[in-house]
Amino acid sequence: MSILKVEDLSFSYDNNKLVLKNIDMDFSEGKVYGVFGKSGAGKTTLLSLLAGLEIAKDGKILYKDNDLSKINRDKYRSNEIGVIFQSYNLLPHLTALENVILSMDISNLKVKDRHKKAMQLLKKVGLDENKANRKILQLSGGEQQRVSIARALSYDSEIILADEPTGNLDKDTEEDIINLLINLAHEDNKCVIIISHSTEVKNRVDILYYLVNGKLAE
Amino acid sequence: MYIIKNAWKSITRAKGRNILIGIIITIVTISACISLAINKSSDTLVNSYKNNNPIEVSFQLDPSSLMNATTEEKESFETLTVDMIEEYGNSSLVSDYYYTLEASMSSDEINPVDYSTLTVDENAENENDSNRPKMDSGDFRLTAYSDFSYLEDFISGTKKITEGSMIEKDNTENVIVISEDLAEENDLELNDTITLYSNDEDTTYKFEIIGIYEDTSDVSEDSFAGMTSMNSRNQMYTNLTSLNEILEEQEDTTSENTKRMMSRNGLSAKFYLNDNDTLDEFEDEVREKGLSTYYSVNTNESETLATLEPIQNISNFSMTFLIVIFIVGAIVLTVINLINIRERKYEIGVLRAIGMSKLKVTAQLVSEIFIVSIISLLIGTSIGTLASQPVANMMLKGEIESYKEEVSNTQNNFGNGNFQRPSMNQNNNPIRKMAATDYVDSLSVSIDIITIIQLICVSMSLTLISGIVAVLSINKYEPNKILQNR
Repeated sequence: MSILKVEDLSFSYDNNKLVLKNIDMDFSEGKVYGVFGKSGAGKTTLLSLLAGLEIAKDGKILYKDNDLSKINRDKYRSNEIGVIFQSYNLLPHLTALENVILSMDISNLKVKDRHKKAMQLLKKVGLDENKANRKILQLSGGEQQRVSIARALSYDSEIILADEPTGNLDKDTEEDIINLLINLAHEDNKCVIIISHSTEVKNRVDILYYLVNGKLAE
Repeated sequence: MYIIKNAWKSITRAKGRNILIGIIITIVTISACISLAINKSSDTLVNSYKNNNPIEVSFQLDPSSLMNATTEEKESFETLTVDMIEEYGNSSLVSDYYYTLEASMSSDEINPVDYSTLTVDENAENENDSNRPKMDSGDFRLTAYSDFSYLEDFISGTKKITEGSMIEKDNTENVIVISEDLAEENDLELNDTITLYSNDEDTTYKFEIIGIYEDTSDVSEDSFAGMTSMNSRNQMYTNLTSLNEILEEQEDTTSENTKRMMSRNGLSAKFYLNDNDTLDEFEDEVREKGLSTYYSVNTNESETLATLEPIQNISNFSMTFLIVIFIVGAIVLTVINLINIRERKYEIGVLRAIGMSKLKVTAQLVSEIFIVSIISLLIGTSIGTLASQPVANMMLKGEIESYKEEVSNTQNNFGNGNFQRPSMNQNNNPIRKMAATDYVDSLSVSIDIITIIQLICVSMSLTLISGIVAVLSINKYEPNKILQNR
């Protein structure tokens, strides 16, 4: 069943050249989607639009048949979609654990022990208690990437949107994270959308989308 | 709740920035605390002083303008009379009043107390007795009060009845109260009779001595200005009826023109108003009731307020200081907050990207400033409370010293401290007034609930100003732009 739908979407920044042109996409629960394309193809812009960080001017993005431009996008970002940013976007004055808990706080997640759940998530992505209690800048790039993933998973959103989630990870960890994301789709019935260059990811996703110069390639 | 928790984490993990903001708010709070406490206490003191020392309103004839008046105007001029004073005194604006009659008298039987017979005190200050006659020729000064309870020398204790009693209000007989020095000089005792005369030596008045008073005031040759009647030891007190009779006789023997130049020989009145602010209303009323425009309506307000001038000055200074420091504080805090918001743009972008609403981000930033303000307010109020009294004392001391120095310098410019303009009597001489002023030299400063509320308002205003800057800045930022620009 379609959870997120893109209909005839075109987009440009500040009325300049179109970054995305007449895009149509359909995302369903329980599947892993891969969006591929060269640099400048419009992948990150698409992610921003799907994450509700930008508003579609031409065309529509429908979340459960609701136009994303007309719903509360703060609530959408805090509860319905978990975003793993390429540059992590973590708060440096907080620890890894606090970053995850803050995300739960913002989503107002009904969990008895947020601390315990955050710790479990961090362990799931391969961070022990010691690292969980370190401030973000005391962690390596790969470790920050894992915190970012744990944060995206923290409030049980139906959609996981990942921008190069394995970009800074070693081969073994990359494998673990891909497995984690695939399991989320196949076992927990979540809709996982991955934007990546990785061949490993390309080989594991259920449905592939190629973006070429802002257009969807067949 | 997580907003406060997160705000607290931000404060504790960015100590330098928040300590700086805290110091600024603490300085503003200390200044505000001291200023408000001083201002409040000064106002209370000034109001209490004004209430306890109501201004005296008196009428004074302006001889020069009367002299320049046309014959017609002179003829229509009405001198002040006891009846007029009583009518004005019954006004609803007046809380109390009294009047005095005074006449210059002489005697062939007794000698006045001479300056040389008294202990000389070179450093003694001149008296400020406002009831002294303006035109004296005799050796003695005979005074009657409509209400002897207003006799200042007896209230202050400079004069004290040692034998017999003071004149009673309803007494109409020819009785008199004299000084101990005068009694000793002339071997007079209680119940003795003395004979006095006014303008006409043939018209004499006999008075029975019913009281003798001790006069402890300092004297100096200057006090008498060459007239023995000016010596307070030669002052005698009698009742209104007796003195009125003498004055009527004096008027009969005085030319019409001279009479016009006098406000009625020796008649003066003082009125105390219910509310000092109704002076203009009172003047309008007495003018309507017939007080000639040749009389000016005077008050001793400036003299009363002169004692409070240092306190009012530090009160004004403290309020000006508060306004300046508030403005400077607000500007500095706004700038710091602007820089702060710019530095935290990334943090704001992340919070917005993970779904925190603009309102909640603003609430968190404002909460941070608010928490820092509350802590600074507590510290500032504590320090301000402790410092306000010593600061007030220091400021008041400095202010009084500065005033005294100014007076001293002015007097030195004239070559000596006793210079007096010939045209001015002592009460109107500003230099003498300043020199004689007994400044209020203590100010009890305390912090009450109103001051604390005012402090909270000052502190919260700063928080609000900073908060508005935060709100405006955050509303400007779109999360995707912040994160993309990083």
